[in-house]
Amino acid sequence: MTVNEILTWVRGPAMQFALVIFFLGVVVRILEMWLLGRTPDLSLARRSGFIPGLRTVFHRSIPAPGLLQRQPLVYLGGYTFHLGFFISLIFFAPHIQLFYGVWGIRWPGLPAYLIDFVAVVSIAALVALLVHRFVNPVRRYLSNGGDYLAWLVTFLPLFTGYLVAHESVLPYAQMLTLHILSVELLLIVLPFTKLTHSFTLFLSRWYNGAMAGRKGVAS
Amino acid sequence: MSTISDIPITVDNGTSPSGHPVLRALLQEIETLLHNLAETGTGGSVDLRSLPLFPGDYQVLQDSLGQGEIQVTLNSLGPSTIYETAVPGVWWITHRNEAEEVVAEFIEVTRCPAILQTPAEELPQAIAQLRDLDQQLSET
Amino acid sequence: MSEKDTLLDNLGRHGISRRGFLKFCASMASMMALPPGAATVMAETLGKARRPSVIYLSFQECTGCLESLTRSFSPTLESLIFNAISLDYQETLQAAAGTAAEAAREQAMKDNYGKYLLMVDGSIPTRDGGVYSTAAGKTNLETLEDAAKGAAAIIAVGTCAAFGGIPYAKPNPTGAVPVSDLIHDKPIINVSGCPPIPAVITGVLAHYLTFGALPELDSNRRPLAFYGDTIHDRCYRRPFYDQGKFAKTFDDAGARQGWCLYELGCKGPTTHNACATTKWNQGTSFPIESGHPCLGCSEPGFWDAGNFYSALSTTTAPLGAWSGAAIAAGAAIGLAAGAASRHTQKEAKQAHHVVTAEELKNKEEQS
Repeated sequence: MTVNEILTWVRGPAMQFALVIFFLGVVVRILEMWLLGRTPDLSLARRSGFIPGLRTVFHRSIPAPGLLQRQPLVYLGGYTFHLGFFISLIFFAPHIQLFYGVWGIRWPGLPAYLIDFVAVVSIAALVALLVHRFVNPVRRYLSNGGDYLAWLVTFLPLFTGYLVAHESVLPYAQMLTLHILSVELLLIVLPFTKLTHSFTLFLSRWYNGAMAGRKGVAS
Repeated sequence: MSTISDIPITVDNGTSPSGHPVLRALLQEIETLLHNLAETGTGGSVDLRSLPLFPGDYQVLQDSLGQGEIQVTLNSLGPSTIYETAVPGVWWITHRNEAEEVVAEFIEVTRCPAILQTPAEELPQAIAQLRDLDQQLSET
Repeated sequence: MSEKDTLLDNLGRHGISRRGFLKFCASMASMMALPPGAATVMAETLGKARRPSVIYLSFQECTGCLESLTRSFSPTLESLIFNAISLDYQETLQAAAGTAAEAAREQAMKDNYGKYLLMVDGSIPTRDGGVYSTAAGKTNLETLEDAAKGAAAIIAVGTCAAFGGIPYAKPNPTGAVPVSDLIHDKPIINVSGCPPIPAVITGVLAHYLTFGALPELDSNRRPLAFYGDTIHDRCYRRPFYDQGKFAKTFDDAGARQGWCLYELGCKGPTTHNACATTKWNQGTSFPIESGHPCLGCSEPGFWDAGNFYSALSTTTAPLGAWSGAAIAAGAAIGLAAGAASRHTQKEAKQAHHVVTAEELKNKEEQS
């Protein structure tokens, strides 16, 4: 099998496989959690939980007082790479072509040099966070294999993507193959690792806030 | 037979984006070759067809190098034009086939392109030719 | 023309001077991307080269490669190199037919055993014993195996012979394979492309005649001089790619200004060929210069590599239906898993024994 034939396979059947695992996994995990059910709350609700839930979603997305001073790297680094990841995923012209091919809708992209800048900053943030995880004794103690796996599968698409755009290390075809493979790896492991938070994060924040709101306490 | 020039289309000879990066690199290469020619007596050549030039870049390059005093047409396997540009020692060589399509294009940095010199292998034949001429004249 | 004639003698007979020959070598060296000084070396060796016997076999092919090779407006340098070889068998070009043609091939193979160049055009069907393509009662498979035995080297002309091409594309009903799948004991050089650039074929022949050996090859056995770079590497539109300026349709402002064709499906970044520098139709242009994305025709499996007009970053297989099915299956599995955990909860609740104060008191008294 030649490089281009492998690339064709990676762009086709391998992507199908990864997406099937991804969607299957995400739906199973969410349904599983939801269907566990909760004990019915028989007390009279003080007020509706919906709005307090949304408030918590917002509140917990901004650093609690003092935390930004104590953990600036974790907060800023975390925000930087999350935003950078989504900006380069959604606004890079070749990616828009991919979404257009699947859904038939497209939107304006950002200039290549901006995406480039965003990608470099995100990669730097991810590396800084990994170093911090190693250096800080508490974080190192709290980290397990799942954390490092989550880091790796997030880092690889960004890193290989940057190399494809710059055609460095390996020729375009080889690097593009590795890039798409890294994305497929991310799709496959996402539902079964801590990366599930991309779907459960706001659900759980809302649930916590809604519970507090029902009881009439601050959300 | 019709050729591309008979088709009434106009070609937009776009040039490369601002700054002419490829052309400037090319001029630097020619300058290096001129240095070599001045110091060692051997220049060199640049194959223009292997460069990723915009269609309009050729014109810009030709216009900037200009035309010098000598222009030669070589008629063998189609016409070739060989001329010295306004920059002494820089020759522009365009080989065409019998349909006048460009088959090779070079910039040669030399005091005189090799293809203009008479091949040494043809000298014995030249001597024989001259003897024949002399023979013919003596017989008339 | 006798076999002892050198190429220069032969050209001389066509009224070509040494200067003309030097011009010929200069353009050959230019095509082969050899350093400019190589023209002089070529002129010396090539001038003394003898005419080799060439046998050209056509299998599952469309004759497009031969058209590419022979369609020239006038006697060109490419056709001159063809005068310099002895083309002893070519079904489409030769005057002889039937048994006479086969006899000519047999004779040439016998006379030049171990020395002739074998050019193969088209893929070879192998299913059902190779019955899907036959000539003179012999399958292509037999003909190739027979002719390969006495060949000095094999040149696979075109993507079909080199990588299988369109007959090899899914579902490949004839079981077609490229030459390199069948012949393992001879040097094979792949001159791929659909069709290949004529100058590349003559370039390979000129190289063989000049240096007496096949040129340096890449991992797909293609001559590096022509297939060393990608189309993208040598594309004059490359600066637009670097700046992120892409034509979105074939007639938008970007397309008119000659912007990069990546988003219109250009396979230039993954395609190795010399189109961007050697160009087509006597140097007129090449597909990208005419505003059309590269299809990637010189690469293995290009027919099966997805839509020609979809960018390289898109997928080659439909994803919508598969994703929908995965979501449905996920829902079913999720519901089942949910029901199972509900059941476990219920059982745990039922098994839960409520301890009363009375019972505790009794227990205490017993102990």
